[in-house]
Amino acid sequence: MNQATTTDMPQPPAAPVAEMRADIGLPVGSRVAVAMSGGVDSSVVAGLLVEAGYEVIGLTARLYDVDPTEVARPGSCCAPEDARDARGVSATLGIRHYVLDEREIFHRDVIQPFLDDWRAGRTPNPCVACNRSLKFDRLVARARALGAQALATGHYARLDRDENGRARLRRGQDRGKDQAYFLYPLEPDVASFLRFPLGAMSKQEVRDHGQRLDLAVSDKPESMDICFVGAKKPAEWVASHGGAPSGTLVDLSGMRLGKHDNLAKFTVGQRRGLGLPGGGEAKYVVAKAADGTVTVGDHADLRVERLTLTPYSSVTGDELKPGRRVGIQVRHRARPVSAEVELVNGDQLVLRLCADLHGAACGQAGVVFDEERVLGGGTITDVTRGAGAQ
Amino acid sequence: MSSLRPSIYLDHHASAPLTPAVRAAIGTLLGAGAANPSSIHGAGQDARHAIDRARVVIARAVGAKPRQVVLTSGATEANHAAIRGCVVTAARPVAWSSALAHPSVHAAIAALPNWEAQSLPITPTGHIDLAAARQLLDTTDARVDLLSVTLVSNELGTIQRVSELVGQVRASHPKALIHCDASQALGRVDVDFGSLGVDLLTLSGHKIGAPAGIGALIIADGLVLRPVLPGHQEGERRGGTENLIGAVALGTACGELPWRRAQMQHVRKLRDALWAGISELEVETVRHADVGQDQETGTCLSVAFVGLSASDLVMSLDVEGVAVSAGSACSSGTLSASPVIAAIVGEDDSGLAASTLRFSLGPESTTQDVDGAIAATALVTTRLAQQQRR
Repeated sequence: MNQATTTDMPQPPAAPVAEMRADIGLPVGSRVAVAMSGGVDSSVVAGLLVEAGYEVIGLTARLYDVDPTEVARPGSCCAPEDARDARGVSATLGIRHYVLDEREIFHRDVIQPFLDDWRAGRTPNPCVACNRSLKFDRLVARARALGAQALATGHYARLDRDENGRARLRRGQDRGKDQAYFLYPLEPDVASFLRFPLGAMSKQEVRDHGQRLDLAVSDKPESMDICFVGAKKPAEWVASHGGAPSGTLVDLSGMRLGKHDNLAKFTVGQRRGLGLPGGGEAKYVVAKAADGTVTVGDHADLRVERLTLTPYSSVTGDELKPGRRVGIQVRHRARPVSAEVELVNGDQLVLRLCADLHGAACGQAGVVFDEERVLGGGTITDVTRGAGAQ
Repeated sequence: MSSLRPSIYLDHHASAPLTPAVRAAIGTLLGAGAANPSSIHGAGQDARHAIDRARVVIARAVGAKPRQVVLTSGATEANHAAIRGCVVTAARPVAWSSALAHPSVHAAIAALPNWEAQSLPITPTGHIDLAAARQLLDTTDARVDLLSVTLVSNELGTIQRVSELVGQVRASHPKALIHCDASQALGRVDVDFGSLGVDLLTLSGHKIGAPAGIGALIIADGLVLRPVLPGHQEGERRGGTENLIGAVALGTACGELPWRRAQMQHVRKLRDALWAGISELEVETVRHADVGQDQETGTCLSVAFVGLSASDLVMSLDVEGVAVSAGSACSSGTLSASPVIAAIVGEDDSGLAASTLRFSLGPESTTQDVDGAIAATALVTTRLAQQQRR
């Protein structure tokens, strides 16, 4: 612990009691569950809600077993040691805390699809799958079962209601930490139960609150990587869990350029590590197939004309109408690109790009924005490449 | 810090409340200051005398001699000391236990190098099947080097006919060592070392009003174990400075056993009232080990709430102020389905194990506790059923 003198220290933030109560929107004393990962963000959420006068119950999902041969795992999340951290925070705050064994569900809904996707030539987004299955389904159900009136998480996104009473999910105030992209599977019924109290805070404010609340996790490193993959690269992890197909690298005409031993080493838009002879124009992965074929082309060949999202789920509950202009974000931290709704067919949404978008990988999340508001999203299931962008 | 202790405590099989006499005895010791019972000086002798006085009471409580009592850190250590301390001549010895045994018995047997583990069959009511055991053990080619039998099941409260089983085994396998775990039996049924006829007997403090961290192993005269914790203390049978506070607490609690036994009819009446109330709820229930008075302690109600998850029930009841348990708590705080219940319900009804709660009562339980528990169970089962229909 740093022992700085009080004169060096910035003033500790005041307890944002009024803001928390306004954000939670429930009478003081209401029972609120907090999804506690053991990290600083969700720990601070629990602490702020205790200060605001709620009956807080901490829930930590145990998601997977850690490979005992893997020693250092800084920045993991939801591993057994993180459950202990969450328990420690609960002890500091004097709240009830339960560890939920969700290993089976996590394997079924997150790990297995992750492997299946890599094997089938897609680039999965396990964080979205985890939010959909674990946080928005299982944890919400557990919280409701415990009689909680809401479930709060430490996500950096803002969730409230618009003037028509529809759920409004917006980017977090701290754009460096914004997680709105991963949260699109939020459907209206669940949105009304969830709270993201950190949405209007910066990471620094959150850390300051962690210090002020004397939470032992306030200097814990960020969890950034895919939790169950740990320190490994996803391709190595896939290789050590049954592997992905080997195959050939071909150009757009189908001419064989080389071979590879693991389809999971490649993702659309990738330039490095193709193992092709140097010289000439830079080459990119433009497509992958389940038979192991990796198609390589020029940067221009990455240009996306159309995207299909399946299943499309709406945060607001409203269906998008053909012709509507939206922003489409296809990767975490990418800027949304202008697109037009071309077709709505059941749970399928087809978007025609109106601006340059290079490289969209099947399996990734395609998230539909109106400015900074998330309208909905879906898994990218089809990408039409071409010269369509104007 | 406020306490999270629920107002209704129905988990006496996990840990019984400290009795006022035990609290007083501990308080006196804490006030008197510490000394090492192995020290020569008067303070050390005071400690030694206190332990020896406790040993006399402990021995008397189970019809043993003081020199046969080895104090341990609890029943788990006593079980390990008994099982792993066995000295046998067979090249590949065979240890028998049953699904009713505490996990520490299974762990101790598994830790024996080159031993073979065998399990006695149990009946659907949670008793060792003596007829089947006879068939298995009563042959000349059956090998029995060690038998570990549980007098009272921690999860069901069922009483095993230990002396009958011992008689069977002694007749065909006179050299076999026989251990009995009486952790859950003490204070609930008669425990007499002589009439049980066993060589080794495990006792636990925190099931009878002493704190966790103290227990005892009773060792028959002439039987030499290989100490798991070698050292000069406890007659060279268990190393480590004696736990003075624990020993005195265990002695005090053993001195109160007549009082505890006298309360058992009252406890049984409360338990029966609890079942009467719960069986009338709308939720479908299946009671385990519903057998005659002489076959179970009357302190425990093991009941499956069909279609509901035991871990959800435990958490929900806790939040409503009622402490019960289910299965066995693992290190991370998650629950896994009880192997004891899984063994008695059979594969066809394996789902029942994950729906089973254990309510366990003791002399401190009251009619108000029972009424409150029934009301809370009504509330949470209704809420969980609603939640499942969502």
